Amino acid sequence: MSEETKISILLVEDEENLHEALKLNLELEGYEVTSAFDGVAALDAVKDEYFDLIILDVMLPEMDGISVAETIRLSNNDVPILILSAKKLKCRPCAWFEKRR
Amino acid sequence: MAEDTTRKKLRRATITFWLLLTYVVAAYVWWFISLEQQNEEMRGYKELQLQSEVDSSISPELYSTRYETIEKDYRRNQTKFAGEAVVFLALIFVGAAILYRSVRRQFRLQQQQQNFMMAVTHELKTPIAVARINLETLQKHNLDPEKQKKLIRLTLEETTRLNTLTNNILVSSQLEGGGYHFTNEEIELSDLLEDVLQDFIKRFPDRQFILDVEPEVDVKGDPLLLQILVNNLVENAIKYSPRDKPIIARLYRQDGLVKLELCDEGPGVPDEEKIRIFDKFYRIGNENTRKSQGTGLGLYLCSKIARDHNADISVTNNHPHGSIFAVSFHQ
Repeated sequence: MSEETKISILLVEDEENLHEALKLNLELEGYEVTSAFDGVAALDAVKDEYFDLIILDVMLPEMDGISVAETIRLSNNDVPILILSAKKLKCRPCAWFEKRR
Repeated sequence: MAEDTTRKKLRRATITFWLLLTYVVAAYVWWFISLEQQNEEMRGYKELQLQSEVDSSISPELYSTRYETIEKDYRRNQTKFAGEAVVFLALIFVGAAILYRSVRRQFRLQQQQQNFMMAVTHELKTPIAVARINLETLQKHNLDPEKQKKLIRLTLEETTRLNTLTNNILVSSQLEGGGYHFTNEEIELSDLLEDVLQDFIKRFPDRQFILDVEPEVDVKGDPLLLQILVNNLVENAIKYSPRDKPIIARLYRQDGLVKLELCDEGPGVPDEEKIRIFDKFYRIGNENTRKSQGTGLGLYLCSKIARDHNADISVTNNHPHGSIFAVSFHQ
């Protein structure tokens, strides 16, 4: 993949080891990865930069992942968001995304 | 979500409880009033019978004696009913209070267990995911030796984390179920603390640990449990302390006590949480936005192990900020 066509990904994950593992893999696959370790940092990054994809953890310090996703959508940003979670997700995120369809 | 369901259930149980209690008390008061009315009716009936049987103008003494007996019966019954009412009401209220407290405790425990299950799922899945990703990366890509070493180190870190977690779960269940065989031997706590800290220094090379350990400090106890105690306290300090701030471990004798202290420069523990953090499954803050992960078992286990070793555990404020976890062993 050439530099110009590199897909940019915002990786939001507070578990440092998991963050490093995911980042290394994504970089090895040729993606450009920007790191954020909490919800507020993720929103700051989205304000400043364009991303092709956001990989977002749910359990985050400062602001949880679902609130981050809601805030991004409410600012009319349609960037695809891939939610990462060790928990079963039901109700709040799903209901919210259903509403937005 | 589970928390919401538990809250709803608790609200429903509380409303049902108060409705039932109100009904029982109202029924009881009604029963007392009915008895009292019956008592009065009985007195009236007996008085009428007396008037028809004895003429007060002919035998005033007999009339007065029988009248007094009727009055005495009436008052005795009144006292009996009032006494029973007080005793029964007191019993109902005591029973209701016990029931209320036990139901609330049960719900709180249920909620904490749900939180624990959520936390433990996260705590188990994350290290497994990291280890798997790292191993898959090593298998799939031809990485330079430096990167390979790093991935192996990270994977080992995660397996240690899993080991600590499973140890905590197993030991707390064994200690509670009475299945743990406690050994009581002379242990050099200075050596144990230094060994545990050396292990952490290797695992976290970018962290700063300061050891202020008096040599040859002995305590009596179980070596595995004491190792878990120290391990959990250090893990806790690492979890909350900023990366660039040192973690201080102290061990010294003072006033016939052996004191072990772990000082961090993290956010500290609010005063109202200082006792509750040693409760089983207790975690500060909201599950989705808390700054650090955990199951709420680590500090609970520390306090249980401390108690089993005739020691007190407490947390105080560090200056300018952070916490000092202190364990004082009575000799």
